[in-house]
This record gives sequence, structure tokens and C-alpha cells, in this order.
Amino acid sequence: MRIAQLHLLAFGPFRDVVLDFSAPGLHVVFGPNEAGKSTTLRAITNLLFGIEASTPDAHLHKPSDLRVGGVLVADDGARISVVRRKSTSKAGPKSLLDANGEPTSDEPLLRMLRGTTEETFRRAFAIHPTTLAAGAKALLSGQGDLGESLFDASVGGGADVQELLAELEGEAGAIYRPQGRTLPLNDALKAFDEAKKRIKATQTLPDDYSAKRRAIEDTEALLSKAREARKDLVSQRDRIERAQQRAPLESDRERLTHLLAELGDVAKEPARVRSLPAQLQAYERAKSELAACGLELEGLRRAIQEAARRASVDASSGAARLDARTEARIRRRVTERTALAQKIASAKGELARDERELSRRMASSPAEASSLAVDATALVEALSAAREAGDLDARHTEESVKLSRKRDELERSVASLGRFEGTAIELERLAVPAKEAVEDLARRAAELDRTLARRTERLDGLRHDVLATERRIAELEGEFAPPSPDDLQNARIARDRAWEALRASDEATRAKLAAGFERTMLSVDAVVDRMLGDAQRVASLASLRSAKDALERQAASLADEVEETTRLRARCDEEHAALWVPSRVAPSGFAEMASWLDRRARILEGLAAVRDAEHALEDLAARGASLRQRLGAALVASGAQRPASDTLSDCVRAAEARREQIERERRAARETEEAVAKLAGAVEERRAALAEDARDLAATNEELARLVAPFGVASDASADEIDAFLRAAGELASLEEKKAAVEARTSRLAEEVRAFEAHVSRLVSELAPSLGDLRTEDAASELADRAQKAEPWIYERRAVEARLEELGHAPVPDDLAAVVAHPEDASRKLSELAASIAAREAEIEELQQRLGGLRAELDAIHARSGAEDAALQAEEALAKVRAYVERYARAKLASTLLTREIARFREEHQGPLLATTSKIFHCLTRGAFLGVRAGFDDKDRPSLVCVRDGGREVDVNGLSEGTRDQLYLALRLSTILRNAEIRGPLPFVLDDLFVNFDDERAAAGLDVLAEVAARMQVLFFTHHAHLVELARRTVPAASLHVHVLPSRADQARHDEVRPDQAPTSQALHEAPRSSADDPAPTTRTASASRAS
Amino acid sequence: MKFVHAADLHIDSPLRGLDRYEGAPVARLRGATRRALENLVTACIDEQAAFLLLAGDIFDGPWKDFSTGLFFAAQMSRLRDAKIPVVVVRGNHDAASSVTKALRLPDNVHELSSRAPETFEIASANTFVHGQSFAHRATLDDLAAKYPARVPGAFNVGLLHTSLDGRQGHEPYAPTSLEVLRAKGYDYWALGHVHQREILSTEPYVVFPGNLQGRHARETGEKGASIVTVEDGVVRSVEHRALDVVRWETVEVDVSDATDVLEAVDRTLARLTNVVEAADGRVLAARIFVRGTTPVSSELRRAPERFVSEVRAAGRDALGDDVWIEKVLVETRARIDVEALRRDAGAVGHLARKLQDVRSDSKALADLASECFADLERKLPAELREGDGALSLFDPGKLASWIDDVEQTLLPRLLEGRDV
Repeated sequence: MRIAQLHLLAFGPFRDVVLDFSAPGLHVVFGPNEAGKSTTLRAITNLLFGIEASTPDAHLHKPSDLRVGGVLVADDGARISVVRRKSTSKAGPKSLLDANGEPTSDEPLLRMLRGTTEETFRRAFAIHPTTLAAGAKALLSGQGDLGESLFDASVGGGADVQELLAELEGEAGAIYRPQGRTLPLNDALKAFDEAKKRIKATQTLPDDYSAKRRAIEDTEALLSKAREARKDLVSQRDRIERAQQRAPLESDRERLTHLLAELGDVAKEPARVRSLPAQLQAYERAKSELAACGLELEGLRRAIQEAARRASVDASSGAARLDARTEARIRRRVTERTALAQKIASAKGELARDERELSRRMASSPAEASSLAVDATALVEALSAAREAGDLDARHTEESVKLSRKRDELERSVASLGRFEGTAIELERLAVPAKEAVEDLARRAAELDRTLARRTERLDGLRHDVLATERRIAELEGEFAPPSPDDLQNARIARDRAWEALRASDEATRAKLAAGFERTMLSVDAVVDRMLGDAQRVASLASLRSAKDALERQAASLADEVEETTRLRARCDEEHAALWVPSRVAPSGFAEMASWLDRRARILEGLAAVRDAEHALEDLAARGASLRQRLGAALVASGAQRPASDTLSDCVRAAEARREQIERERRAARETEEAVAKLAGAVEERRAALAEDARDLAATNEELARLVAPFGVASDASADEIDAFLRAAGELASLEEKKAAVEARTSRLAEEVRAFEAHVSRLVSELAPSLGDLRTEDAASELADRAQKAEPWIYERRAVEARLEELGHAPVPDDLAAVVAHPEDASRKLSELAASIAAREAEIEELQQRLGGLRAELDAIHARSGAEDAALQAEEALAKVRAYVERYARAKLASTLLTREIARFREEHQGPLLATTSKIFHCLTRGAFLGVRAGFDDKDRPSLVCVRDGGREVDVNGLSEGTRDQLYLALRLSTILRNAEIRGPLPFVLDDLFVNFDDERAAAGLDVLAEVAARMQVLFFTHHAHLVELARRTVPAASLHVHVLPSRADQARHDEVRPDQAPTSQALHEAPRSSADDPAPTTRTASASRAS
Repeated sequence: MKFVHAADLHIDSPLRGLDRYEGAPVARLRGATRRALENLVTACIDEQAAFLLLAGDIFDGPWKDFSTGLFFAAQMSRLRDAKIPVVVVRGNHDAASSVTKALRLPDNVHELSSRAPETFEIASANTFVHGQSFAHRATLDDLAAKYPARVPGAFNVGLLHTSLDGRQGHEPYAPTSLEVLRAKGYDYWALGHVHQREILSTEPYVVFPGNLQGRHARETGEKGASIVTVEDGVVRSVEHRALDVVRWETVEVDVSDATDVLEAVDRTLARLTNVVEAADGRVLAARIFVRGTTPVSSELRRAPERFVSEVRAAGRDALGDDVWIEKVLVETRARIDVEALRRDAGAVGHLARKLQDVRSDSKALADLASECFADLERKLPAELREGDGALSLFDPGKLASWIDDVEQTLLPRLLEGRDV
């Protein structure tokens, strides 16, 4: 494929610039700096593969306006003209357009590219100065072998392939090598093994645990047995020791029991006797006090005799004794008597003053007011009736206005009713039909309408069905109607006739008749066959005909019904008209007339309302007059004058005033009457109180006389006399009380003495009968003495018994008693037991220690063992191993597969590639080298060997830098030619390839490129004018085409003139060889362009 | 009444696949399964659970350290002190475990018989628990089919360690079907064995609570137990309670629009931060997949370890010890049309075709593996080829995925050159 024309429609700085590459030969595109050489290079790739998303060429034109076009020629001569625009996305509009700007399929273009991807085109069909230098350097440093060099040259690498391979192998080798020892993977494996070992070392196996538990249980059993044995020994020792302590105590108890028995029963109950000494002392004290009381009594009796005499009382009689209560009563009565006498005197004075005031008031009482006699009842009732009735005048006015409004409204309704002219009252008199009658007729008419519609519809349906059935029959009967039974009958008759004729015929005519008969026979068969064949059709026909008849019958019957219904409906209208005749109203439709009747009914309701209002107004006027009359009469009756005005409200106001005046006068008369009555009441009360007090004084005097009479005091004695008597009587009473107290004490003391004597006598008889003969005092002393002796012995015995109880209830058994009886035996036995106990305790101690150790071991297992941490570490190490293995695997696989591919490539392509390389190298070195061949380097790897003119061979290291560049260029060119051979030629685009070459080598290179151009299209881009010149000197004119890109200034000028020019593409330049001496190709190009 | 249902405790089974790196939160991962069990016991006590059901695999089969058993017994004693009974069936791991055989449990723990189905009454909760322990590791009978009929007038629970009708990644032990379970008429089926939480039915409730603590990158998400509320003999709710202390998650990062490696690191960190926040204070063990068709693909693939280190460093700086980055898998793709390239007649096109051929040719893969890995394979420990995340250098699937990586590494490099 070649690019015949590149059309920079709108791309980078360009607008409508055309580069024509159609001619065969080497195309040199010269673009000075800033002229857009790189943009043009990109335009080629973008034309073929699409404009990249982040294009740098959209600075002048909008991205969506970018366009680059071209004419492409396939190897077989087919041409396509396409335009590329920027595609927004894969799913967006197509980016490839045809010459008319319509989207077009990219299939033809892809066919021309033969599967070459953009990346391959960029790298494999282009040589950049940088990759050239790097590739040459790689040859020198011996990086990679021949295969790698060839492969790298083929992918357009510039030693990329060698570098990549080295990286991959380096990464794999850094992780793992079969012989490597200290590599990361090995370390990780080691860490994993160690962690596994640590798990084993730290974990406790369940069996170990069970064994330890069993050991603990066994030791616990032994310990328990040893403790049992020790307990038994200790118990034996304790029994002996107890027996030793118990024996002396038991003998003490016996001795004390004996001593107490000697003291008799007192020893049993010493507590009863314990208080006896104190009681004895009290007894003796009571006896002496008794004697003193006798003397005191005698003295008191004498003093009483003397006091009685002084009070003029008989000391021996107790009747006249003045007690405290009586004295208090006498004193209270004396006081009361004095107070009452004073109160009566003062009350009498006040009574006389009130009686005087009353007589004064009674004298000045006013005459009865005249108004009190007036009867105001009639006035009050008339007023109340007037108030209940309210403001009748106002209501009358209001109702009059309402009535007149109602009358107007009614007249308007009548006027708008329609079909009637006249007043409401005339309307009321009109003889209209009843609404029910009209509605009944309307219902009947509607029902008839519905029936009619239903029947008409059914009739239409039936007629339609008849028509459809007729059409079906016509279809079935048509041209291919089945034969009817008549047809069959006719055919049979014909056949039978022929048969008869045949039978009757002779030899001569038989043959002819036979033919006729055969025809008729066949005709019958044909009819029968057709009838059989069309049996279905025949049956259908029969059924359709019968259906049609039925339908027609139904239709006829229904038509009759329709007619009947229509007639009934007309009669309804007539009846309706008849109904309205008496009213002389011309009726229209049912609904309208029903509505008319409703409206009339509403007007009549209005008329009734007007009449009601008129009656109400008359009532109001009558009530007002009656009330005025009643109020006037009542006023006159109450002594006032009839009011001048005749309105109801004025009458009411006059009546109110009169009523209030009467009320005021009555209230004043009532108040005076009440004051007099109150004073008369007070006088009465005082008189009653005075009488009461006089009665009380008499009673008090009487009571006082009764109280003092028994003491010989006069009933009218003065207060002082009574007081003297009372004091003497008090002294006598005090002496009598003292005497009674002394008599009571004497009697109590005598009782105490008797009680003690009886107590001692009971104790003696119960505890010590032998003392019965002794005096009370002596017996008591003896008893107290015995008790005093017994008490310490009782305490001692109790202590002994308590000690014994501590040592246990059981008495010492006989065998132990025997042992204890001999102290030496006992102590020997005890020391033997002590030794045994000590031995057992040592054993227990030892077992406990063992158990403690075992338990500690078990507890250690309970705690975290650390095995699970080791397991986590093992997993971590394993994860590391996995990570390394994966990394290694990827790197190793990549390097292995790449190496394989390189080897394959060398095997497949080495021969042709080296042959081409030799030729190109020969040309590039202008014959200094004959070529190259495959050899081996000092490491025995396949390598390139160069053959000098004359046959001497040198390896790459022996070449000069320039020659090495030429060698690598030869290699690249040969792979490109090889690629073109394999996939067909594609444009070969070079970007300033020879910048680092001297002129001689560059000329040789251009020569070679011109030769390559014979095999595939070569586009050589440069911004060096001297390379253009060199090309012109080196390459034959017929094989060279120089294109100059317009400078910015040119482009700007071009843009300015463009609007006036036809929008056709503009061929820029075809430089003729003859102008090679012009040193400024740019300017000349522009003028040439204008000249053309 | 509330009760708690848990299964697959696998106490002291280590977390797998965690490649320790500088600054990784090692301490916070230690004893994760133990702390999860402590959380379970605390939850039972806090919820005043009427009982706890453990549906098998309390221990890890091959694990022999007896302190693990004692730890379990100590935790059960905490429940005894709280007067919470525990009913247990042995699972396949317990049947294989030597720890189970030697262990004595406190008297509040009742282990159902392995010889025949057994019914255990929890009188305080008017509940009957029916079940049977595994006698052997590989129990292939339908145990549930022989469970006794429900006890009328009480709450009936079936306790079973089973793979049901088969669950991916789980051995097909004690197989049975939902129909068999439903036919028993129990009120709740407490299942174990499957590590992924799943409620298979709500009438009645048939529940796999999942394991208590995720242990590797395929056991992702919340792990814990089911808290079941029963009112009037009817299950009112089954609530999942997260009790794990380390949360495993898969984090997918799309770096399609990243323009350089640092941006890819930033994107990764942003996603990671979101996931760490969702882990609610737990340590997150994250497996990160970096995907997308991106211009930075070549650079990422050229030195994936450097990228991994940068992601880990960024994670450590930003998230401290809240995250352990288990793995970063670079699965980006370059912006080249590999399909088109395979049609290309040039050297790279040939290599692309060749890679595709090798990948789909099992014999060629085997030969390639022999050539590259014969020596290394012998030195790798057997553990690497076992269990979850097993790695074999001769596994055709694994080899094919590596060839994928090779393709995405080599082709862009050869087409784009070293300076892309």
C-alpha cells in the first residue's frame, strides 16, 4: 500500500494543504523548524489509524473540526479516497469519511494495512535516530546474541528487547536460583521450617496432658490415704491424754459431794437462805419502831380534845366534821351572793332609761303614707306584658318592607314562567294536569323508545345476517357448485338409456354404442365422485339455506313488532296533548312539561308565603293597640295621669316612672316601723333578766343557809362570821388526819414481824427440822451459817464438772484407766504415737510438694502455649514463599517465552535477513565491506561477523562507530524489507535519520533509500536543508521528489487569500532537479507554487 | 427467650496468607480466633441467653496443642458461672481432632452422642435439642434423616454439622436436603460447616451462622453468630452479630483514569480508607485488586513490588495499624488491542499468537512448567499446595493466568518501548 496523496484539510497549523506522494521514487519532505514536520508525520499515522483522544494537533482547529484526508493505493492498484476526523469514543460516530464527507466503512483501509496495528506501524515501519544509536550501541556492547539483535531490529526496538530480557532474567534470578543459597525464597522456606519446628516444640499434646492429670489423681489418692492414717494415730494419742487429765478431776468431785451431804438440805438450796441475815436485821428494826408508835398515838388523842372544844364541836361525833368540799361550797355561795346583789341594782337603772325612750318614740310615730294604700298590681302586669311583646312598632315596619319585597319577587316568577300570561292568583286557578300523570306517560314513552331501538337494532342485525348467508350461499354455489341430486338422476337416466341401447344393439353398432355407454357411465361416476367429494360443500349449502330461511322468518316477525311499538309510542303523545287541553297551555316534551309543573308549584308556594306575611302584619298592629289601651287604664287606676303621646314606648316609660315612685314611698314607711319594734323588744328582754337575777339571789341564800345549819351557824350570818367558823374547823381536821397515819404505820409494822417469823419457821421445817426448838432469831442465824459454808464447795464442784465435760462425756474406759493408772506406761505409749504421727506428716508433706509440682505443670498448659503464635508465623512465612514463587513464576515464564520466540525468529528469518543486510551494508559502506555472515562470539553465542573487502572478517567490536551505525541501519532496513515481503509493502516513514551521519555516509544512505523506494514507498522527513541538497546530488532526478512544507508565514498568507479561491486542494510543490542550485528552497517553493 | 447459635470456631487456626511486612499490625492479629470466642461468650452473657448452640468444628482438625482445648473449657466455665447451658455437636474437624478426645468440659456443656441421634432437654427454656455428633471425619450419611420426631408443646431445635446439598469449597459431609429438615417439624435448625452465613429458610428457620472469625481472603465480610429471639415458642427474629476481631475484605480499585503510579496509589488508598471505616474499629485484612485499562499498566506491571510497597507504606501512614494489606494483585490491562495484534504478521504479532496458543494448550503448558519449574517445585513445602489459596506450579489454570500476566507485560513493552 502507498499513500498517493496526503491532504491536511484542517490539522495542526495547516488548512487545506496537499502533499502529492503518487510518483514512484524517494519522497523527501522538507520542513524547516516550526513548519510542522512532526505534525505532518502524525497526520500520516492518524490518517491510517485514527486521531488519538489526546491529540496535540487541535490548537488552531477545534478537536471536532480536525480533518486529514488522503488517497491510498493498494498493491493491486485499487485506490480509495478517505478523510479522517476525530472520534469521541469507540461507540461514537465513525471517524472515517469518504470523499464526500459521509461516514464510510474502514474495511478497505484495514485490508490495505493487512493487519498491521498502529503500534507496529509506528515502530516497525519507522526508524528514529535515537533507536538507531541505541541499537548500534547494543551491538557494540555485545548485549544479546544474533537472535536478540535480529528480533529487536524487527520490532524496531533499539535494544529494548535485550534490556527487557535482562530485566526479566534478573528478577527471576534475584528471587531464586537452583544453586543459590542466600536468596529471599530460600530464606522464606527456612523461616517456614523453623516456625513449624517451633509449633512442635511449644505445643502440648493431649496425651501428655492426660498423663499429667492421671499422675495428679494418683498422688491425690496417696495423700488422702496418708492423711487418714495420721488422723487415726492422733485420735489414739488424744484419748490417752484425755484419760490422764480426767482421773484426778473425778476424785475431787467425789470429795466435795461428801462434804455437802453433811450440811443437809441447805446445801441443796443455799439460794433460799442467802437473804436471811438481811431479813433478820429488818425484823429487829420493825420491833423497836412498833413501840415508838404507841407513845405518839397517845399525844395526838389529847390535842384533838382541845381543838374540838375551841370550835364548839363535839370531838367524839364525826357527823359535824367539816370537809374541804363543804368548805369550798360555803365560800363560793358567799361570793355569789355578794355579786348578784350588785348586778340587780345596776340592771334596774338601765331598764328605767329604755322605758323612757320607747314612750318618746311611740308618741312621734308618723301617719301612714297615702301611697301605701294604692294597688299597683294592675300597673306591674301591664308593664310586664308590654315588655314581653318587645318593640312592636319597629317589627311592624320591618315586616311591611319584607312583604312588599316578596310580592315583587312573586310577580317576576310568574312573568318568567312561560306558556302563561296573567297574575299569580290566576295561575293558581289554572286547571293543569297532575304531575304524576305526566311522569307516568313520560315513563311509558321512554320504555317504548328503548324497546323500539332494541328491536330496530336486532332487525338490522338479522337483515345483515341474511345478506351474509346469501353471500356464503352464492360463494358455494358459484362456478364450482356441486351437482344436485337432479343432475345425478339425469346422468343415470342417460346411462340407463345407453345401456338399453347397447343391449339391444347388434354386432355392427355395438362398438360405437359401447363407446357412448362408456361415456355416460363415466359421466355418472363423475357426478357421484363430485357429489362425494363435495359432500361437505353440499351439507354446508343445505345448512346455509335452511339458516337463511329461518333468519328471514325472524326478520319478518320482528318488523311487525317494530311497527306495533311505533304505533303505541304515537298514542302516548296524543294522551299527553289531551291532558293539557283544560289548562289551555300548549304542551311540548314530557320532561319540559314536568319541569314547567315544578316551577308553577314553586310559584304557588311563594304565593302562600305572601299571604302568611300579610296575616302576621295585621296581628302585630292589633297587639300594639291592645297593649297601649291596657297601660293607660292601669296608670289612671294608680292615681297618675294618662300620657299625652299614643306610642306604645311612651306609655311604657310613664308606667315605669309611676311604679318606681310607689315603691320608694313604701320602703321608707317599712324602715320606721322596724326601729320601734326593736326598742320595745329590748325593754322586754331587760325586764325578764332582772326577774331571773332576783330568783338566783333567793336560791343562793337558801343554799348557804342549808350548808351552814349543821355547824350551828345562823342562816343570815355575815361573810366574816362564816370565815371565822371555817378556820377553827380546819385545824381540828388536820389533827385527826395525823392520828390516822400513825395508826396505819403501827398496823403495817406488826404485819412485817409476823411474816418473818412465819418464813423462818417454814425454812426450818423444810431444810433443818432439828432446829425447830430455837427462837426465831437463833434459828435464822444457824441457817445462814450453814449456807455460807456450802456455797464455795458448790462452786468448786461445778468447776470440776465443767472441766470434765470439756474432756468429753464418756468416762474413761477400763483399758485406758489401766494405762493411765501407770504413768510410765502411759508416757511410753504417748511417745511411740508421737513418732508415728511425725512419720506420717513427713510423708504428707512430701506428697503435697509432689502434687504442687504436678499442678504447676498443668497450670502451665492452661496458659497460652505460644504454639498458635508459631502457627501464625508459619503462615506468614508460607505467604512470603507464595508471593516469591508467584513473582518468580511470572518473570521466569516471561523470559522463557520471550527467549523461545527470539530463537524461533532467528531460525526462520536469519538467512534472508543476513543476505539483505549484507547487500545493504555493502552499499552503505560504498563497498568497504563485502557484507556480513553468522558467526559465534567468544562465549560461543551466535553473533554477526562483518566481512571486509578482501575477505578479512571482523566482529562488531572491531568496527568504527560510524560503520557500526551503518551496520545497524542495514539490519533495520533489511528487517523492514523483510516485513514488507511478509505482509506487503507499507509506507516507510523516516524522520531526520541521517542527522548524525557525515555527508558521505548520508549520501550512501540516501542512495540505499532510493533503492528501497523501488520496493516500497519511502517518505523521508527532514528539517535540514543540506540533506535535501545531498539527496538532489545523490539520487537520480527521476527517482526523487522534494516537498516543502509551508512556513507559518506562508500558511497565514494562504489563509488570507483562501476565501477568494475555489476550495480545491492545492498541490504544493514538485521540485525539479534543475533548480538544485537555489540555496533557499522554502522561498522558491512558495514562488513556484504561485507560478503554477 | 433468646439463644445464641454459632459454628466453625476453629480455635487457634492461624490466619492464612498474611505476608508480614514492615509496619504490619502483627500484634493485633495474634489470637484472633480466641478473642472472637471471648466475644461470643460475652455476647451470650450480655444477652442473658437461655443457652448456646455450637454446631461443630470448634477445633481445627490437625491442630494438636492442648492449651487450645483448655482455653475453650475456660470460656465454657464463664458460661457455667452465668448459668448458661451449652449444647455441642462434633463436626468433621472435631472428629479428627486429638484435642477433643482428651478434653474434659464443665458440666454446663453437653456434647450430643456420635453413636445415635440424641435429644437433650433444656428444661429451664422448655427446649429440646436434637442432634448427633460426627463419629469420623468423613461422615457421608444423612444424619438428619434419623433425628427423632419433635417433642410436642416445646421448642424444638435440630443441631447439625452438614454440607446440606453441597456448598462450594466445603467437603460434602452429612449431606441432606431442606426437605428432610423441614419434614422434621422442628422450630429451628442450627447448622454448621459452611463458613458463609446463609439463612436457607424462614419457615422454619434453617441457618448457617458462618464461622466466628474469617481466616483467609476468601472468608470476607462480617463474621459472628446468630442471636435468635423466641416468643411463645415462635422464632421472632434471627439477628447476625459480628464478633470477629479481624475483618477480611476484597478491595477492588479501578485505575483506568490514573495517569501515573502515584495516582494509582492514591486511588487505592482512597478505596481502602472507605473499607477500613466500614470495619468498625477492627483490623482489616485487605486483598486489593487493581484493575482497569490504563496507560500506567505497563509501569505497574514492570515493577509491581514497588507499587505494592508504596500502597503498603501509604496504608501504614494513613491508617496506622487498622489495616493489613494481604496482597495487591495488579490486573490492569494496557491500552493496546491484543486481538488486532494477534492478526499482525510481524514479530510481536507472532509472539502474541504464540502466547495465546501456549495458554490454551495443556500439553504446551505442562512442558513449559517442566522447563521452568521442575527444580523449584521439588523444594516447595507440601503445605503450599494445600488448603485455601493452594499454589501449584503445575496447575494449568494458574499457569494460564500467569501467561495472561506475561502477555500484558511483554506485548506493551515491545510495542511501546521503554519510555512509555
